[in-house]
Amino acid sequence: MMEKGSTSILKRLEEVMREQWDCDALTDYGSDITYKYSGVAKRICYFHLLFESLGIKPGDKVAICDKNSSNWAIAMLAVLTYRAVAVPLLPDYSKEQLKMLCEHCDAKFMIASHRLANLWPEGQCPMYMIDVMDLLAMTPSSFTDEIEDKAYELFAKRYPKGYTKDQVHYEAENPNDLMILSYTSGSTGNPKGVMLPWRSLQSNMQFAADALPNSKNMNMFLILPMAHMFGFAFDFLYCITCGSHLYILTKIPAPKVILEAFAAIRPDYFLCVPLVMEKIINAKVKPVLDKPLMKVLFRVPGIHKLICRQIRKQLTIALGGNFYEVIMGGAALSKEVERILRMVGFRFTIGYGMTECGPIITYSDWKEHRLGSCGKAALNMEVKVDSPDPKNTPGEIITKGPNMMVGYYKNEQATADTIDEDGWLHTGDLAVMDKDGFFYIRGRKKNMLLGANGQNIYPEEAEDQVVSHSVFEECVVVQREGKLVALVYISDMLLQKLGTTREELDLEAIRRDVNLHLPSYCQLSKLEQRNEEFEKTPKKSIRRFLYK
Amino acid sequence: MLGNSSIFATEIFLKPQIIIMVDIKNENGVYIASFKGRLDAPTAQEIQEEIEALLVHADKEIVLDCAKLEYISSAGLRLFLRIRKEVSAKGGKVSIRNLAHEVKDVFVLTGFDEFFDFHNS
Repeated sequence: MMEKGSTSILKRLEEVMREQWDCDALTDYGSDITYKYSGVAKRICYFHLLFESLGIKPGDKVAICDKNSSNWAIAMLAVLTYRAVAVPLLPDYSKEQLKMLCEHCDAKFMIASHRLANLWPEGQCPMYMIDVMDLLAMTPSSFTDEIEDKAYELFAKRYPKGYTKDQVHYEAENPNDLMILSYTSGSTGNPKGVMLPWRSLQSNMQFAADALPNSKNMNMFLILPMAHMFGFAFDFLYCITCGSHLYILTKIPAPKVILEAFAAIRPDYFLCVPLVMEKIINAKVKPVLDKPLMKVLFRVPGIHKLICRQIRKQLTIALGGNFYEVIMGGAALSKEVERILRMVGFRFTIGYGMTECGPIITYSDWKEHRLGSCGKAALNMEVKVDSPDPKNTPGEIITKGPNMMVGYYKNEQATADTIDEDGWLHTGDLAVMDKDGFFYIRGRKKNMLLGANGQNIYPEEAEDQVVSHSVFEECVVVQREGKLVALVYISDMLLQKLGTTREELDLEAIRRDVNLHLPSYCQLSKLEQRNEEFEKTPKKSIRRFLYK
Repeated sequence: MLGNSSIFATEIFLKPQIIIMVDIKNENGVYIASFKGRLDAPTAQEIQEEIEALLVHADKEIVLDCAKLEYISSAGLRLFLRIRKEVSAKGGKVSIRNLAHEVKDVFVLTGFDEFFDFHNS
């Protein structure tokens, strides 16, 4: 169990490898291979010897670029336990961007997907590359053989009787040393390298031990990208330090696959982006609630309660039936879906954070969760709304505490723009805060529009309403000549399912319908349909700055 | 004379030294591939053809006899992994036998021992 008082992540990992030596650690969901903690520890040992043979030192940068897998997890643990600086890179970046990022972060070694084997022209590769698919040299050569020979020799010398649990030893980390360099994809421009020290993740682990289920025998189902701090901290690192069994989804999280996995794994808690729950609710619950008979029955007080209980029960079973709560984060949850989840009494909560805080800033347990809120200041963090009247006038969320980054790598200007002289980190998100300290996000500061009467307009609110009350899957609201225009997109797949075409959609009728759900200062003057989905960052956020 | 012997010597010198051999036999429906020598990056390339011939029988039982395998690098491990994947996809069975202690260490160290059944004849 993760002790609330213990702070060294590496010492905790050492303990867990020994304690859980014979227990299952990692499974790629749907594959027949499961690594026990012993197998993970041995592969970590091999990596350390390989790093040593290559002359890599603690503090050097090691890039890891691929989608989620057990091997990704092993590679990450190997880098961290070596006290090298892990640079997780999303595979969605183009080859050119990856090359640029590797050069920017000064990586000495790269663990990547085989598609990147020729990232550098032959002979110019500044790094020894390992294929994350099987953790073997990506371009076998006499050089790689030589390095491996050295590693094998070291192993024979150091562990003549084999590697046993008593030999697992990881040096404790220095809290102020750099642990992770995480590139935020930047919906407005070039990626920035967020420098997270060990203390940030130590503090995040303390928060998790205090707030989340905490047992050695947890089953976890991972669908969030482990290269993102939300998934990295609370799906991966926290659960490994608890000694849990992690089932990793290596495919696209389609609802059918996810629901099958829930039944088989029965996770102890579940982390996802709101879109996943929105899809489940739209597919499983909304059609039931939209039936005319159900609308009548809902008006009968006793029946209303019974129906809600039944929906909650079925939804809980669909998600494995064993979870403490579902935690959503990374984007705003549709108000409509949140209303339904709340109405049926489903165990869910919404957290708020950012890479720059590794990631947690605010959170509340599902029992305390308030509609529309993303919780209260997380453990160890000071959070406030920078506004003369935080309860009524939205202001920027600013925060301070051990979770905070050191700054942006090689970008002093961006660091100075984000962390002020008093040490407050400016999140760029606007919110209000109620009298009990719960935060309610309104939108991004940089996206805020000024209405005709000087009223602040948060396009995200209007976009949420468009997506909730129309067939459109994506929306960006822009301002043209003082009027709000919604750029909207529906996929061919959905059009096919609905048996219609883009041309047949009555945009004017949809606009009028959506406007019924929007305040007067936020009325849409026009809906403009796009034939292609919006361009997105590797994190799947729309690159809004491209749309005017 | 001197010229001739010099050419002969060069030919010998340039001829790639055979440091890996694979012998494939069918013993009562079980395909046994016996490896001899060092399995590293260049030699893994050398035996591609033999491996392709072996993988024609990926739906059957395959035994990789490593009694005379002296060394394996990641290129060799990748080759073994490929055999395992193909056999697994086609519904066959693969095991490794008679692996020398030092070579087995490489499997254990890299975690590849989890992917194979090992036995001694």
